[in-house]
Order: sequence, then C-alpha cells, then structure tokens
Amino acid sequence: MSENGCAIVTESLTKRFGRKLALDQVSARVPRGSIYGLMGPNGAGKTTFVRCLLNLVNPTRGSARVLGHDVVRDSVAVRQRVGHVAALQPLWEWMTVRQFAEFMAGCYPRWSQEAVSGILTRVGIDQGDRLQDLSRGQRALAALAVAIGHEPDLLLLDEALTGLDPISRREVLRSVIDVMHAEGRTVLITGQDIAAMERICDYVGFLIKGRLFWESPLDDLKARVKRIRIEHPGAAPPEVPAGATKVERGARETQFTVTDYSPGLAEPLAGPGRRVEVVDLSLEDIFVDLAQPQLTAAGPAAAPAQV
Amino acid sequence: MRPLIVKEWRQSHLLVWLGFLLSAMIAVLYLLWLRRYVKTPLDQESLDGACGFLLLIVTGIVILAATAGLFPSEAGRGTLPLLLSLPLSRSRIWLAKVLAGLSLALAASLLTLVPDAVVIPRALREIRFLLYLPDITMWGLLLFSVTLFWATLLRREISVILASVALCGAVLVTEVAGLASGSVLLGYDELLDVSLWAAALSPAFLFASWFTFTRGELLQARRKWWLAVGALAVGIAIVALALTGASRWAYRYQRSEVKVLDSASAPDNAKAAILTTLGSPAPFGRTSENGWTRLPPAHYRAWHRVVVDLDSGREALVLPYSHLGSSEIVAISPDGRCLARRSQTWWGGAGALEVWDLEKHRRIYRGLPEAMRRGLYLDQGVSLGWSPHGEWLMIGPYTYRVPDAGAPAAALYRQALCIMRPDGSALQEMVLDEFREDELAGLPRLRGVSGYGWAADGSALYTLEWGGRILRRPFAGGPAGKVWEPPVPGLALPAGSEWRFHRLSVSPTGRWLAVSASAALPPVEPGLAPVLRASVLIASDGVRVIRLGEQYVRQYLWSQDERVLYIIAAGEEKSLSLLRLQEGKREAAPITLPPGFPFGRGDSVRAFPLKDGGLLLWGKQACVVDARGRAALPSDSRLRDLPTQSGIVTMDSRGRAIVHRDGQLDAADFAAGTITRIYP
Repeated sequence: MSENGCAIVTESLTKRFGRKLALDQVSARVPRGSIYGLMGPNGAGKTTFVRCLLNLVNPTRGSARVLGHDVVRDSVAVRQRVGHVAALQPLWEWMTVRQFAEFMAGCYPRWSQEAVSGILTRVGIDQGDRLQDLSRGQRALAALAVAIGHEPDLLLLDEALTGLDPISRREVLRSVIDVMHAEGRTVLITGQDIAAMERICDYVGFLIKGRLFWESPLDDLKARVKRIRIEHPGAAPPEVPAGATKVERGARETQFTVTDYSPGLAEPLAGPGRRVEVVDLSLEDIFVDLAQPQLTAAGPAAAPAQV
Repeated sequence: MRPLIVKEWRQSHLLVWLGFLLSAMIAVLYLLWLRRYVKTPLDQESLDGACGFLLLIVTGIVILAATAGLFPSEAGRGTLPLLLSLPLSRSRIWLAKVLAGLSLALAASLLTLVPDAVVIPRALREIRFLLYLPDITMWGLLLFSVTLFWATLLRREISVILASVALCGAVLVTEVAGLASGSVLLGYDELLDVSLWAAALSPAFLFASWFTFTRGELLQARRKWWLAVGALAVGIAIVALALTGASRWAYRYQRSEVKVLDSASAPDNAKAAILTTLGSPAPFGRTSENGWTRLPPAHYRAWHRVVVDLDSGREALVLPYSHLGSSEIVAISPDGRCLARRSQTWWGGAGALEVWDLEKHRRIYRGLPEAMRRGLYLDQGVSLGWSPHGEWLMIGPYTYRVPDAGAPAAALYRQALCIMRPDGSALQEMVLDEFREDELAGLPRLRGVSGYGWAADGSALYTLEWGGRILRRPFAGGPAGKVWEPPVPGLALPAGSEWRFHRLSVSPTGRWLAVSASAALPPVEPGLAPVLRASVLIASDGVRVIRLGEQYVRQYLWSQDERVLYIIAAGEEKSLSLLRLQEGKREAAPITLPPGFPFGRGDSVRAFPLKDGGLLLWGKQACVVDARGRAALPSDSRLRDLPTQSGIVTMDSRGRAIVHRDGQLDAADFAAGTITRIYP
C-alpha cells in the first residue's frame, strides 16, 4: 500500500519507558477512509501507540506520519486534523457541556457546532449540564461529540467504546463512526470489544507485547485464518501443517487453526476415514487463536505477519 | 491561547477573592478589636506597620495560591493528556498557563490591597509601599517563578507551596548573607541590589519550568526530575553569565558616562597608584516622599573604585561598591603595593575589611577584625592608616563600650586602635584611653587621640592625646605607652605653666617630628593671660632639637626628600603666612605669595611637596614655590587654568599633580610645564 493512500504510516516505531518496552518496531499502515481496529490485550501498547501519533510521548526510535505530517515535527498540524477520545478520559468536570464545546472550539481553527449539537441532541445530553453531573457513558458520548467538532480527517478512539452500554455504543457507531466513514474519513479504534469492532472495522491489527503481530483487511484476515476440524474415528491422525496454531489433538478429532488458508490446503488432509471441516472464525476467535500462543510464550511476540 | 487563559480564569476565579477576603478580615479586626489597644502614636505606628507587613504576607499567599495549582490541578484531575492533545504547542500551553497565572496573581494582589488601602491607608504608608514597590514586585516575580517551577514537577499543590516557600526563603537568606559579606551586583542601594538578584534568578526558574513542561511532561518522574534539575542548572549558569555581563556593562556605562570623579584617598607622594571613584546616574533610583530618604534620584549612582597605576595608566584594580554604604574607607599603602578597603552597609551590616595586593591584583586578606566589630558601637567610620613603609595597617582609633563594665549611667568606654600586617597576621589592639560615660556627659568623642604619627621604623606610634600630651606608644611596650614630652629649647616656663601640644607631624620616613605647642602664662591682669607658642623640630634620635618659631601652626608640610619643612601658619586676615625651613637652620625664611595668587581668610589652600624640594600650593589657583623659596604662578596658561578647587586628586611619586577633569586623569608636571593624559 502506498504511503499516500495511508492516513497513518509508522516505521519501526519504538517506545521505551525505562526498562519497559511499550512499542517494539511497529510498522503499521492505516489506509485513508478505513475504519481500522487495533486490538490487543491489556498492556499491549495500544494507548502508547495512539499517544505517539499525537506526540504526547516522543518515540524512542522510528517514525510516524499522520495524514502526511511527521508527528514529532508537525505535531500541532497533526492535532489540528485529528480527533481524539480516550477511554475514561477525565474532563474538566466543573465545565458545562456547552463550555467544554466552546473551549474546544476556541482551540481549533475550524469548528462545526451544528455537528456537535446534533450528536448531543441525538444522544440526549443537555448542553447546560455540568460534566460532573453526567454518567460515565454520557461523559464519553459528550467527549466523542466534541471530538468531531473540528471535522477531523482522522478520529482516534482509544478504548472509547469501553464502558458504553449497548444502546449508547450503537448510537456512537451510527452517529459518529458511520458518518465519518461515509465522508471518507479515517477512524482508528483501539479496544477489546472485538465483537463490536468486527461489525464496523474493515482493517484490523493485532498488537501483542508491543509488536504488531498482524495487520490486514478484515475480510482478508477472515479468509486466511480458518479453523480446520478433522474427524478421524479409527483412522490415524493427520499431519498438522507447519505454521498451524491452537492445535488440539484428540483420539477421534484433531483441530488447528491455519493463517494461510486456501482451498487446496484441506485436500491433502482428507483421506479414508477422515472428514475435514473448514470452520469460519469470528474475529474474536481469530484474535484468541492467534494471540494466545504469543501471550503464553516467553519473550517478545513473533515477527509480524505481512499482508 | 485565549481559550486556555479564559479556562484558567473560570477555574480559579475564586482564588482572586481569597486575598480580598483575608485583607477584609484584617481590616475588620483592625476596626473592631486591634484599634482599642492603641494608646500612643507609637502604638499606632506599630499597629499600622504590622498590618502592612501582614498585607504583604497575604499578597505572597495569594500569589502562591494562584500559581501552585496551574499544572498540579491538571495532573490531579487527569486532564493533562487532554490538554496536551489540543492543537497547540506545549510552549503555547505553558505560556497560556503563565499568563493566566500572572494575571490571576496580579488581580488577586490588587484586590488584596483594596480593603486595607481604604480602611487602614496608614498601613501601606508605614511600610513605604510605593517606595518599595519595585522590590515587592521583583520578589513577587521570584515567588511566582519558583512556584511555577515546582508546579511543573510536583503533583500536589500543598507540596508546591511548601517547596516554593522553602526555596524562596533559601534564596533570601543566601542573598542577605552575600550582601552582608560585601558582594554587590550593580552597586545601587542594597535592598534594590538584593531584589535585582532575586529578579535575575526568576528567568532561570521560568526557563527550567518551560523546558521541563515542553520536554518532560508525561515522562517518568525520575527522568523529569533530572530534566528539571539540568534545566535549572543551565538557567542559573546563563543568569550568572548575564549578571557578569550586566555588571561589566554597568562598569563600562559608568566609565563612559562619568559625571562624578572624586575622592583622593591615595597618600601624597603616591608611588604608583591612585584611588579614584567613578560614578554615573543610575538608570533608575528611588525617591521618597515619606521620610525614608530625601536623596534626589540623581544621587543614586552605580559606583566603582578604580585604582589606576600612575606609571602605566592601567587599572590596577576595579572594585564595585555601593555608595550608600557611605562608611566605605580606602587607603593605599605609601609604597603603593597594597590597598586596604573597609566597607560597611548603611543598614548596620558589619561589612568587612579587605586588603588587596595591587601588584598581583589579588586579595590577600578579607575579614572582620574584632576591632571593627567593636568600632561599630560608636564610630561608624573607623579609619585606616598605613605605617611609613607599609608593613603595618592601622584600624582606628575607635571607641566602644566595654561590655559588663557598670550600669549605663557609668558605662566604661574605651578608645583603642589595632594594627595588623597586610595579610591579617599579628593583629593586636592598643588601648588609647578609657573613660566613664558620666565623665563626659555623653560626649565621648571629645576624649582620646586627636592625631598620630608613626615612628621611623614603624615600631611605635606618637599620639597626640586629649589634654595636649604626646605619647610614644611602642607596639611591644604594653598598651598604655609612655608619656613623652618633647623638649622646647630656649623657652623656660614659669611655675604653674606647662606646654600643651596641639599639632603633630612626622616626616614621611619618620626621621623628623614637628610639634606645635602653646602654654598659658600667669595672667598679667585679671582676664588677660598671655599665651606662649612654640614650634619645635625633633630628630628621631631625640638628640637634635630645633626651635622653629612662635607662630600658630596650621599645617606642617615636608618636602619629598625631607630636607625642607614648610610651615603654613595662621596669619593676618587676607593673607597666608608661609614659612620655609631648611634642615639645620633655625631661621625660617618667609615666602611671599605672588600678587596674582588669590587667598583670603576662609579660603582653603592645599599644599603638596614637589620632587625638587619645592611646594605646590593649590588654592583658587595653582602656585609653585621652588626649592629656593620663590613663589610664582605657572607661566603656562594650561597649568594656570587647572580646576584647582575640585580637580586635584593627589601627587604622584614623580612630583606630578594628578588632576581629574570630566572623568579623565591628567598629570600636571609644574617643573617641566607639561600636562599628560594618564587615564583612561
């Protein structure tokens, strides 16, 4: 994918906090106009990745470009074009929602109060309410609404869906993300609510132990990662292909997950007394199947898969 | 930036009223309670002063409160990442915070002053608020900067406040200690100097705060501390360099804008150096309308002592000093090798005594001898003097009250002096006189020594004592000394009369001692007692004694080779009686002043010995007396028109008169009829 077609390009992005390696040579590409889901377990480095993109923390090594701007040299330009909402981000709670929106409006060169008001009205938040009087979910919704006031070309949602009830989450998806996507703008979502992300993302990346373990279009991922189930009652168990993960061997059945599935892969596994079944996996299953071996293994995660 | 400033104001506007509230409480307390205890005007002054100082403390608290929460409030609420993700550079965010904090502190300070200014206006007047406004502002700036520095490092407001108070206190103590030890920044008045130091440190703290915030925010705490300490060290180093530059600039400015050049502390016949003073009007000064000082602004000048090597014209030494430490005294040793300098601050600091080696350009002694400390009791200006060959430095005479020696009414006072080697060794005190308070009805200065001269070998002092006695005081001979009555040959006094000496002069090398004496004879009729006067020259061996005459001596003057003694005697009105005495001849040869030399009663005339044995008279005009006693006005018009009334500084070892004009030093050689520029 060319750099011009990407909203985010990182090259060997590394961030170290003392002895702790938070990001380890992350080279990611987020296509323009995509909804990119960055998934990973707790402590995988997702928030650090987002903070590096906003230059809230300086990379130890490597580089990152957002919307064509270097995040270190042109951090102000980046932040002018990027909206950011973090999970449980505390706000200035003494402010009313209106004051908060006005404050943010003063900080950006362009502002669409109609867009902000529209979302706030849709989710039922009164702009005269103080932020401290809102529920946690409402505060997140208010922050989300204000975050798109400057009509950003890229929206970074760092665990922003966490803590939202299903109705609010759906409202967010409908009123914010869908709109962004429809207008050809880019959204990067990090989080662990994989089921929700599966519904909206068209690109995914798995970040494990600071390394980008997988990055590809969601469809491609789902097409390549399959669960192979082989029933072999009374017959010899099949040879498991190299590179298969999550291998489960039983007396009558063997299961494993492959990451490079193709229709020709199953044929050699079939044979007398064997029945081969190729199972489509949900994104959550794929994540678990791919991430679990990495998490349980000692040392850094394996080299990232190339799309 | 504006939204950020507005946000800070909305967030902290209650703090603005904190000072107002506290100040109003003071005013209410004053009106309802404290005023009842005022019985005398002194009580009123004390109360007003206390209220004024309380007000300053409240102002400090308000500044602290307004600044301490600027960054910790964000860190405490967890809103720092949100703040930093705004499309503003960190420098702008920091600047917005600083501007908001400054405006909050300023508004809060002004509001603090309002209630007391209305209810207790005398409180502000008592602490001379307007007079010290520059100082208060500069200290407020330091407090603000220090608090801001801590606020970028610490996460809790109370920690910020405590750390800021501690650090500002440390700065204050350090600066006062530095001031007490005589260090000077620009040489204006001491309070302003201390405040300037404080204000000069502010940029270092501001820089460290900015650097830490822009580079270290969201860093790990330990790395942030290292960053902050490093930035502060760099900032202080830059400030120190800037101050050094400012000090040098001040000196250059003063030298280029010299308006005043005075002081002639070098001894006559200075061998190689001369002391002079450069000064220029201060760029700013303070005026007072409430009695602290009535000096006009132009009086506030930055000053430097400059010791000029008269042979080379170079500056042998440049010492800044505060002219308001008006008791600064300097003395150059007769051999021109050493300079003794004693400074004392007007506010009572003990100051210090320094001795500088002018050849090696370094200080060889710095200290505060006990003698000087004692001298502070009664004599603010303890003088300094050198022995003929510069081997001893004399401090004093000075008078002090002997501790634990009787009730105040009968307190014992002691007049003493002390001597030491230039490097401070062999320090010893010599007691000159002791007397009780009630003996002199509170005028102890009338007692004691009124003049002194060094013995030829520098081992003793001749002192002219109160009551007309002369004592020879050897340093090794005990503190009392011996009464020594110079002989007056050829004049026998009747019984009941005795000589009282009132003028004493030792020749430059101590080979000769000239004394002037008078004796009251028995009255010839009631109310009419004739007085016998005598002037006597005595060799240091005590064997050769020459009676010089019967005139009343105003001044003795020695030629540089000590072969001629000139006596300026009190003469008739509108005239000057000037006698010249050749060594070995009893008869004095009167010198007739030239007709054009203006001199009248009340006019002062200074006289300086010339190299060839002649004498230079320095009155309204210059007049040269040659070695044969002939007086004449200089033939060269440039020499004749020298600014004699104020211009001369001293005579150098070549017998040239050193004259200052418009900040320049010229050497006027009357023998050769030339004027040479020496400095700059």
